[in-house]
Amino acid sequence: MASASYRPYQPAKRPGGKPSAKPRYRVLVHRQSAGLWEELPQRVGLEATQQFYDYAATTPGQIPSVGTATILKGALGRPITEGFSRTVHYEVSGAGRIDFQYNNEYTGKAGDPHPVVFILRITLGSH
Amino acid sequence: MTVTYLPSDLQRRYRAILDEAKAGQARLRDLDGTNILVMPEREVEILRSIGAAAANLAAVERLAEAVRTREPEVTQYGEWSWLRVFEAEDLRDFIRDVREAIIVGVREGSNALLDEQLRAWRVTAEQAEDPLFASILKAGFSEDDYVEVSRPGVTEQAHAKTRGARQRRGVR
Repeated sequence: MASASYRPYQPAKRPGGKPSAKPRYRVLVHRQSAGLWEELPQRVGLEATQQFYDYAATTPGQIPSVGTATILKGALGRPITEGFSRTVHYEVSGAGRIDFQYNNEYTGKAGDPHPVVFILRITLGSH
Repeated sequence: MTVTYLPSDLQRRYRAILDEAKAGQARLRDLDGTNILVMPEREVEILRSIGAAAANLAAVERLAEAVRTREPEVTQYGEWSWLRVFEAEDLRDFIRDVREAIIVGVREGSNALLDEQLRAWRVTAEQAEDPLFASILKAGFSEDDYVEVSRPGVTEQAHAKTRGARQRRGVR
């Protein structure tokens, strides 16, 4: 049962401390990559996965402080629908890649406009 | 007025020659009349890379005209063989981006924009080889194709609380 002081964006306690900024964006992953999302902490490390999540959930439109982000060109970079960003290709220390788009005012099937990150694809291993 | 140094100046006026060279260029004239420019190596490298990019671009432009009627050979792409994964429309975007970067490079004496454009296009080409990625983008957007994830390390109980709070506020 939530208490009066419960703040929904305060992350749960975990080993290693809290993220430095409050998450604003919901993060969703395409079903075809949902299994890989679960594997990420084991494959690239918990810290690297958390760093990506913190980046995506707070400042997906900026240059990340950790990892490399490239705005994809051409058709692969094109927004999948109106209101979405171009595709951001995020490299996790050479061990994996995450492609996502974000929408700062997404209105889904229900609810007010809110910021959301949609992860289109996760690829593990070097290229 | 630009000073033209003689071979004999290399010993007596080497400091002036080096200072001029570092400031942009210094000109020497050999005994047979050949003029030689002394410039910072970095600037010469920039000019060479922009020149090479311009030549590669000209080849791609010629290829982009031909690609409408027939499949080009990989060798026709020259140094940028990774462009072969792109369709005609993407090739046109590539040509526009690189052409502008070359213009900026020559005017500003820097290949930073050119390097960044080529890097971004090359990264894109590497992703284009994945048919799954292309199929996801072609299928269009449907919210039902996505599932929400939480910060790794967050317990399922905490995530359920967050989800419940959102639902009470009318945010899905």
